[in-house]
Amino acid sequence: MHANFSDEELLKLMRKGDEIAFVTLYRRRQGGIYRFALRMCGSESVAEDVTQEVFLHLVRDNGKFDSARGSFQSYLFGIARNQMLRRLERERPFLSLVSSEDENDASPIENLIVPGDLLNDLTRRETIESVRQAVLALPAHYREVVVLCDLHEMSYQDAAEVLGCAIGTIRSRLHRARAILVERLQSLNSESVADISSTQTATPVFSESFV
Amino acid sequence: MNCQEFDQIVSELATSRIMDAALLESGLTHAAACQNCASRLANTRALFSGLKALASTTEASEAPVQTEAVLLAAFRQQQSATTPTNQPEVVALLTRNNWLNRLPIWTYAAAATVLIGITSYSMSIWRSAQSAPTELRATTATLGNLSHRIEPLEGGLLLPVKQGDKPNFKFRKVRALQFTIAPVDDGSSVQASLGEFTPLLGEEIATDFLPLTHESDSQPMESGQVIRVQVPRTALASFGLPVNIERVNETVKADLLLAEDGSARAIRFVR
Repeated sequence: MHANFSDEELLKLMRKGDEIAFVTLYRRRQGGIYRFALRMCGSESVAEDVTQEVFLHLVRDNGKFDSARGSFQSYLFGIARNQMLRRLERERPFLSLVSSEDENDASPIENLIVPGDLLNDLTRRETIESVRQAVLALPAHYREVVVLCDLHEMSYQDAAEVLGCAIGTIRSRLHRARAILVERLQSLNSESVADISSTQTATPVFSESFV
Repeated sequence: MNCQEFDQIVSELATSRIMDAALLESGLTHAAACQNCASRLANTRALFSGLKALASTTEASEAPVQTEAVLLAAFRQQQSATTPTNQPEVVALLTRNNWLNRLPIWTYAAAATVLIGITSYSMSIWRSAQSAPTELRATTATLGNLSHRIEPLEGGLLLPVKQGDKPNFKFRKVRALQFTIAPVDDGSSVQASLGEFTPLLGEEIATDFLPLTHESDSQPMESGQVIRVQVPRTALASFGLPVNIERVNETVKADLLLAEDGSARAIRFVR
């Protein structure tokens, strides 16, 4: 029965101590929050911590949500974003652009590999890894708009609610962030071309890598 | 259209989003005539393709199952704190370092009070057992600021445990240690490793013993006792074990290992 309730209805029940409502709400929203944190930082353990903090915040301060200021989803993402920024600020000197070896060995990238064409698989994996590193290397205020709008496919309106800024700001940051990403990927690709040229082997340019 | 104007619409062109037909035509015409902008358009298309591929690698990712159990325990604890009842308190005995880093201050306080409650209860049990090993009766112990009924199962016998040939007990090596177990009912004894010893009955299965104190904090253990108790099912969550949401209000059987000073050293859950 709870599965048919809206977020706001579940929140009301949760405030009255309904555990099923809390669990339903958690199961409905944890995936998005976890993926947002994972894509922002590239670390599964940090993503797990952030997800836990977001819902602990909800447990402790479940009266703070105001539906007049935006959707419940945006509210949760806003909490997650604040948690992420705090962590990024605290751990900036130690932030790694690549996953540590103690992260899950079975990378999700493995799931994409289709047996048969090893060269294409390798190219695809390298491309995804390049994009992942380029996104993680973006300054936080650019990274968050790319994660929300391009990876989560969130609307500019929703992203503006999450980040607490104007839609125009989202638009301009996204434009700049994409330009930076294109530059970085071109740069990475040029390095790759230079490396491979030295071994007399042809390689596709960045613009052809995905097509 | 000039290059600057083209730059403003390159994302929309690359993603083929709905846009003004005249603007689309103008942009494509410009790209056909300008090599730099054509390259920019191709690279932006490649970027979106890469972002889409990147998103697909994590689109099924979710928080681990134990996160839900931890949050549920926190929710119940919060409800208990705001609405005082006679319901059993969550046994929040935390032993994992990563949990310690992530849980709020009030959880530490709750864990400490619960541990103190269990220890004092255990000491009283120990003292009574030293004088005359008898059947353990159901009793009430204070865990935190709430009363909690602890019920012995399977006859409620206290089982004295004597350490064998290893002088220094460390929980992380429990499987290597030998104990003599002498059930008090008939005086017989058996040799078994701690991880295997009875009193598991019939088809019972159990977790390993989970330490209730840090290894560095615990004193070497010369002998001990095991008592069978019931604890709230949410206690499972405190050790990262999954909790069935539909059975959160039920209790679960557990064996509590008591040191000679009465302190609770380890617990295992029994099914």
